[in-house]
Amino acid sequence: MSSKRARKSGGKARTKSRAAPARTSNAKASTGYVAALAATPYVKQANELERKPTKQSGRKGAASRKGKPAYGTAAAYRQCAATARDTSKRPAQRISALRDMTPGMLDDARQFASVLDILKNPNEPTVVRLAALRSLEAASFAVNRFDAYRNDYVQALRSITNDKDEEVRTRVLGALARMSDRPAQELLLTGLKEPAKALVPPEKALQLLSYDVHADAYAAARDIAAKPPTKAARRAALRLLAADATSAPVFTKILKDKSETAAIRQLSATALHAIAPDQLQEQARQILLDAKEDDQVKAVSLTALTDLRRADQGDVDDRLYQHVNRMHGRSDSALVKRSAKRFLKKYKR
Amino acid sequence: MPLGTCDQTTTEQEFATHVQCVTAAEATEARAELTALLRESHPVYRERSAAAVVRMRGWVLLTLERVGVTDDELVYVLEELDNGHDPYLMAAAARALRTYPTPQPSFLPIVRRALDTIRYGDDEFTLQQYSGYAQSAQATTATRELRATQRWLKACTPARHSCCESASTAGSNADSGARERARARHVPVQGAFEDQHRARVEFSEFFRGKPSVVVFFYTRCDNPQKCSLTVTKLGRLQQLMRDRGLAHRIRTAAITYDPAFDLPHRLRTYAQDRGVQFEANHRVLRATEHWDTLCNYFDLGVNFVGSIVNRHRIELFVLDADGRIAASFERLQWDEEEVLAQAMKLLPGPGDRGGDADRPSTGTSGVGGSVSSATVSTLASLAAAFFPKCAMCWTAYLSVFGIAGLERIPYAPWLLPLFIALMIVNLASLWPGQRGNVLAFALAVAGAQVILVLGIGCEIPIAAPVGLALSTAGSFLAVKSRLAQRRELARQLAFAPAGAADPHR
Repeated sequence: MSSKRARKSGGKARTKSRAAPARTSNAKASTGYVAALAATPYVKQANELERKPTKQSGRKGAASRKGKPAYGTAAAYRQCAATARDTSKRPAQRISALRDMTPGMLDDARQFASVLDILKNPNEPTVVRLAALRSLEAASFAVNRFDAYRNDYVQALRSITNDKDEEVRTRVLGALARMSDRPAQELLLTGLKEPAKALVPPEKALQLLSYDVHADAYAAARDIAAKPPTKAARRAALRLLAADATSAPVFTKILKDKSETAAIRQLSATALHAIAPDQLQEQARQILLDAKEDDQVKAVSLTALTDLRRADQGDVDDRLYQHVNRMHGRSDSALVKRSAKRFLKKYKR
Repeated sequence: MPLGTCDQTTTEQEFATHVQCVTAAEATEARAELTALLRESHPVYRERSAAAVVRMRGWVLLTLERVGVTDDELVYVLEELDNGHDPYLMAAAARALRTYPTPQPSFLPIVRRALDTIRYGDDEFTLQQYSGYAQSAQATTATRELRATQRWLKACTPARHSCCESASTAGSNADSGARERARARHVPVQGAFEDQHRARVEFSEFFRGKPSVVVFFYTRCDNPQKCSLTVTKLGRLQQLMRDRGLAHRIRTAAITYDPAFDLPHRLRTYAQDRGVQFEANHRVLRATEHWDTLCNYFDLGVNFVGSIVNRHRIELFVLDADGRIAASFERLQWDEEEVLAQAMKLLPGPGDRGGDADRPSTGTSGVGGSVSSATVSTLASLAAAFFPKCAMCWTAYLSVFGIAGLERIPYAPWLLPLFIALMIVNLASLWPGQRGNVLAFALAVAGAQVILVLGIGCEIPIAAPVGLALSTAGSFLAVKSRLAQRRELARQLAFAPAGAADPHR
């Protein structure tokens, strides 16, 4: 729809229509990973560059109404490739050209090679290199057509895993980790064992290694969980260990430990549910019977007993029911009250 | 340091050096040790990462390329091509296969399958060095190596040799020695399992009394050619058994390698998604105790790093009614028909009333016995044919004899409509449907008409006995035909040939 409109109305309108989704996604991305991603300087810069209507693009839009090749044709893709390669052009124009040439990139080996060159070139602006990577990743979805370029693509990514630019390095390692690339996994593991050789922060390395259960990251994650360099690294290590059945005692210990933060204990409860659900039920009961427990952890325990209890485990015992009943009447926390209400409704006597 | 002493304490560098030292002229012992390194359960792979196992096995395969593949190692090479999904191992296996002295046309389908598998997951390697992901002019890809192997195979002479069958039969014969050893071992009595519905069951309880088909898998396996396909094929095998009425005579079980993670709900979902159906005789199991006993009994081809499987083979076992291993299908893909045929061999025969084919038959044997048995059988058939066996039969007898003897009853006008109704019920019970006897039905209809029209309507005296005879003949034929159908069905269920075509397949 937007591309049709862009074709009809020329360059300026097209610039505006493309900028819109970026603004929307920024507005919506208030929490979590999306927000963190949008907050990175490079993404911010790229978004701003794309949003800014330039005099040049306006003039070009007016001028190209007559001579510009039709959208989606080989000539249009060639023009985009030329723009993307042209270092004299503004980064915004080059990013836009890289995006536009994605569908046609696989029709011409030279165009594909030129995008790889942009990605590999450390002298290119980071935003342009990241746009090249995005364009290549998008092209790789056409599995059949991408097959012929796959090896070149993987080799190019591997060649820049030690790029001086951290953002490029992280994104490239991410792309390789999603393919369960063994050399990339080895680099990440080496970084965890020898921090001096780390290419990315430990929490990022653990996150990337968690994509493949056979990446052999559990031992490293256990070490980091026991001796965390940062809080974020510990969180990432515990998240990774949530798929390791032998780590159930670690999570039970954390869940019991009142000196741990509520977020970490909540994470442990989630992990226990995945690897030892019976233990979570037992721990949740004990937490609820302890009057000095944190409200957030109590709410998590109530949810575990209300929603995650198996039918064959039967009803909860009378002592617990009466305790939750009293908790519902006395607690100051709205969250606990709400969870307790659901619990009492389910196990109504 | 000989290869035989390699274990989990051996470093990868030491391993690479030792393996490289094996030469073609080496003694048989060193050669056997090299082959032993291809077994997944070898101690050298214990507590290694999956990536390390790939590197080490790849190096062994490349050494085989150097020293030449023999019949002993062929199945390991073919296994990698048949079910592998790692490009490095596939490239090494493709190279190694080219050193097999007699190129076989039967390898071609396996190589073609390997090409299909690796198409979207290929990579570049330098096979001249250990763990060769390095980029250099000597780099090759799995596809390139497989194509070279394909060309080599196509160039081979089309004439078939006796050893040509090795590719197709290697799966079932791959580890016959281990099978024999397993036979000699005591059936584990301690193995305890939990099934997909959390029900507890003992090894000696579930695997006794009937033959069983057992496969091994784990839900986190990332190779679509192994666990996922194995469980899907188990679902198809169950369907095949249902189609042939064998579902209650042969048990099936899928046992996970990863009992700590594969909790009942995961097992249930995984198997259900792949078409496996659950019944008392068909379960998905996780060992809750004595995993090592189970591992030793089946001599499982698996190794672990922590609780995660780092490498395993495809393995299916057919157990007899005492839980002993009667046949195994290892490494290469198994065929459902072939497995079912193996399991059916263990079913008790017609004269065997016990549950075990090995037990002495308790049935009558010899010519005299056969004749007397046939006579008794015939008399029994006649008795069965004439004896009223159900409410319908009683109705039929009552209708025929009742309506025929109506004239002799002093006066009972209310009996006439009753007997006519009973006669109609009798006719309805003889309705031939799709598989019934049409002649029997026709005779009964004719008998009814003779009695009603000629006997009661026209009052012809001979009509009643004629109608009675026709109705009786019709009933007799119908009963005989139904008994014959039942016997035929029972015979098909017991002795259905393994190769019998399944209309649904």
